Amino acid sequence: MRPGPVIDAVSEPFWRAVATGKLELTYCPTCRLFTHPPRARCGNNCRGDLEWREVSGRGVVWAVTVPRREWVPGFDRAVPFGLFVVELDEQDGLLMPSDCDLETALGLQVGQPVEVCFEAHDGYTLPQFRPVSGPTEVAR
Amino acid sequence: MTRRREVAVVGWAHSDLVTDGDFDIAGSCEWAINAALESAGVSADQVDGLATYPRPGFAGARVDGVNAVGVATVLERMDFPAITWFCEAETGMVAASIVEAAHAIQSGTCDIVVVWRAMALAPGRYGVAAPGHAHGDAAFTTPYGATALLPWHALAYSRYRSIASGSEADLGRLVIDVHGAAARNSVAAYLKRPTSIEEYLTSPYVCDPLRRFDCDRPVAGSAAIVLAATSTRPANERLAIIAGAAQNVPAPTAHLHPVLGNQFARGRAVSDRLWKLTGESPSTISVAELYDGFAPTAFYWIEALGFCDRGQAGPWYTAADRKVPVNTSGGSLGEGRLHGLGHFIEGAKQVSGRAGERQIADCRTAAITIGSPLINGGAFVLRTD
Repeated sequence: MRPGPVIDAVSEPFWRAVATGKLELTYCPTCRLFTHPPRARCGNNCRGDLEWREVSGRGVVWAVTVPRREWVPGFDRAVPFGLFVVELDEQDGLLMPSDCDLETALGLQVGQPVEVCFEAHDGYTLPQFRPVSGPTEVAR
Repeated sequence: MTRRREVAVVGWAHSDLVTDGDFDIAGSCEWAINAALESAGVSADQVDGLATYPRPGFAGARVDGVNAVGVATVLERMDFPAITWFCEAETGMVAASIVEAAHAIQSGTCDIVVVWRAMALAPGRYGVAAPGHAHGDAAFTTPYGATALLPWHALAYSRYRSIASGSEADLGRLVIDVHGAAARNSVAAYLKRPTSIEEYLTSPYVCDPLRRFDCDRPVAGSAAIVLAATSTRPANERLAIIAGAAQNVPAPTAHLHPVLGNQFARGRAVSDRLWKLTGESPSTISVAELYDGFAPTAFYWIEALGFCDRGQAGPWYTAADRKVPVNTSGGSLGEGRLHGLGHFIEGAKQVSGRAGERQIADCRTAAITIGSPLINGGAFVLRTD
């Protein structure tokens, strides 16, 4: 079992979108910056209202680790497994996590292209990232 | 208007630091406070302020006398008849309580303040997440098995390694060195110590690329310091004066996790304030006592404080002509986790010329950091006249 997300008023559009296979994040049309995790207002400078905007779901591996001890009791991947962070193509520092099996994790390199996929769970859909299929140049 | 008074660190002590077994945390704290007063040459009836960082050193509720020692617990056990002020800053680590105590003395509210940090061992394994659902920002991380602190620090280090010069052996050099320093530190906890780079590089990962030896060791124990207005001290005493302190303030924008922010930029903001406040700079610092809850944090601080550029801590640290000693008492990695108060005490010992066999020649200034550049703590300069 995964500890499922508690969906609240601010985050509800995110979870509604991923359930339909879309990745949408909060965006400030004034600052032209995404904010994630979602916020109601822009924290960059303008403090204005944010809107929801779909992103491509493409990005690169920003960092990767392999947890080798169990830190989340009952988590449905046994340790060791892969945990990585993706920087989305839309913006520097716009980060989302993903987990994967150990073999995939050991093959991941920082800078490698990945794309979003959607994983169905009991009561919610979880966005995950996978290496872009087909032969790719590994950028470092 | 009253002239701002100077504040010095005039006494300190560690209790025994232990890594297992039953432990009387309140007794250890009382012992450390008494020993710190003796080291300062101050009696309990001269103390007019008490301050601590009271949170347990692990997730869970604070239970005074069991996993924490607050001011009330100290006052139940010890006589401080002149107390007029106290502080239990719950965030900002012990740095916040030290800063508040210094402010209390500078403003004339207090003359002499005791500050302590008491640590208990977690009842279970460290860093295990509480069961249940993920609220708020954790809704975007916990479902991936990414709740505990250690994986986030490992991801931060993975990122750092991808942009940094040098190799992981550079960090291993620091780890070996601090354990060597701790072996010359009579208060250090008894830990398994790596002794060679080969041993470090073949040691197991806990959360790649963090190795077990990159993680500080939880201990039960206490440390205490005595801060005093310099006007209360003999004129000829060599004093470790708090030249200035800069706090880490929370980041203004949302992050997936705080430690995935920009260690360098956020840390530079702290150090810029520190150098401006104190008039010191990396080139005038005699010794650096840098927080190392995870070993890479010391590297982040080396860069953030400006000893070298971003990504250059490894080559800087391992350079044969490096002039600034780092973590001379072993830091949290080698001495045991006192959440930065151990670093502060070592800086005070060095600057006041009371570091014994570890004393650095002509040590005039110490830069001390508590917490990581991205977790709310702070940085200090101690200086002697």
